[in-house]
Amino acid sequence: MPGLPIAVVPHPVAKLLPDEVAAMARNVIDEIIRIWQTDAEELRAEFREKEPPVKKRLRYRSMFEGNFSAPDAPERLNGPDDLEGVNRLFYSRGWTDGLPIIPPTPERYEKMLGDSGLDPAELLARIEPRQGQATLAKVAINAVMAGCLPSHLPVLVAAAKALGQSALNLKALNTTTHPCTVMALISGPIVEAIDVNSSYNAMGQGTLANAAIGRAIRSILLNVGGGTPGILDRATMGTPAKFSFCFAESVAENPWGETLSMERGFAAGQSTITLCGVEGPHNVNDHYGKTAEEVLLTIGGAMSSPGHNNSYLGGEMMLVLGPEHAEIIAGGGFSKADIKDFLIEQAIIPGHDLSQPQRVIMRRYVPDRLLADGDGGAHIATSHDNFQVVVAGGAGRHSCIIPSFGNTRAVTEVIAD
Amino acid sequence: MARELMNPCGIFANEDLPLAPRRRILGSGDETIVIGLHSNQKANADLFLDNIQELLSERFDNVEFLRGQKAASVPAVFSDEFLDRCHVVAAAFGD
Repeated sequence: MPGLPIAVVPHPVAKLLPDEVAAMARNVIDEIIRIWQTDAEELRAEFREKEPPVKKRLRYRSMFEGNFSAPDAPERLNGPDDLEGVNRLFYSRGWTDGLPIIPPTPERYEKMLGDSGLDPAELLARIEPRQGQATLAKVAINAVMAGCLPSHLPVLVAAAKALGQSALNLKALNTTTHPCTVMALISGPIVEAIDVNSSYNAMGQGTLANAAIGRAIRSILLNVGGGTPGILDRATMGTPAKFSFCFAESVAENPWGETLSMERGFAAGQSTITLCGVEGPHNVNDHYGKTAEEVLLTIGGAMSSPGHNNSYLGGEMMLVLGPEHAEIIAGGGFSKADIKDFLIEQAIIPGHDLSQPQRVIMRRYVPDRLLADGDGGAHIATSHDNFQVVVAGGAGRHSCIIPSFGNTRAVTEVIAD
Repeated sequence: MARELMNPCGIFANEDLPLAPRRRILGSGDETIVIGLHSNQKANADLFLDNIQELLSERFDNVEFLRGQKAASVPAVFSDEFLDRCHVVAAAFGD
């Protein structure tokens, strides 16, 4: 919104002492009063004349040349006909994740759409923070760039719709200083149909579907949503998970039979994609526990940290059990509900790990988690809703916890056949 | 040589929204001006607005303050009173 009145104060603010905050207020009060009362058109003219500081230190030097997100933006642009030239152009515009992309030629775009008969102009969702229109066409173009196959497109259509669900809180996820990403968990028959990996290296490299679908989601967040690093995506340090974070949950290795998708109300025969706003995965290895309780104590201990958003904002933490841990836990007679009950009881942040400011924040947002009237430790969770349990991975005594952004909820869409 | 490439960018929401009209309202007339101060509750946001409120109170006689808060990292929901009564609003976003 050109001319939106903003009185800028120096960053950072959080560390300031009270006297310093008072001084900051004195320094800016005149500007606040001015912009409350200055004519609106004058404010807009000021905005247009002032070059944003960000332009002076842009990595993406061509980012503001032309406006490819305007209502009258062209559907096509002229670019170099060589791979390296296209990549230089797209990188300079801030349209890539830094890695080479596949040039989205009209031919590749048409091939991605295939003969589905779907309308490329169909609006699937508006992607925050710029509420960019995720039409089928834009999804397909970003899918080409990410290296997807046409068989991946239905997954991305469902992903786009999921990105538009308000419960995900995408505006926060795509702009926060927190190093979080949108993780995609795929379930159902499509896993085998398009070979989404749920086994060895499910969260790592090596599988086309995992890598490309996750990458395409990031491309949509960037090019359709406007989440450009350092501009609107303000992640302090980011995470490798922002390149691509997509895997399938295992059915074969799931001793409980019920997948997360089924827990969320979908049939076993339905293919779904569940998106979660999360950090990268944190490994938990337990090579020596022989009982469910012993393994879960290790997992609970790994969860019990004050340094992730779930500790003081609540929300859903994902627990991905490797098959060997899942077998031990199920073999001990634990259901998924029992796992959650155990973790609610046993996963406690030690009191000596909680600073006073952390306690203040926890009292504000999750007061029922604090022990000893707020002077002791704190539960990491108080409800089954605070956990999502899935099974994935290959052999090995490893599981992982995936803390979420906190103020976000997992969302699921059905993947059309 | 050049070739055609598809534009990957989504059309952003319309930027051309009008700003609310301004008028000189502080320090003139007998009308009580209601100033909304809205915090996202990040560190020092509330303290900053406390200071802003104090400075405005020192400068102007005819002002009343409404304070609002939102939880961190979720969209703001303004109360009806806030929307109906405030002449101007300052929102503080710490992080």
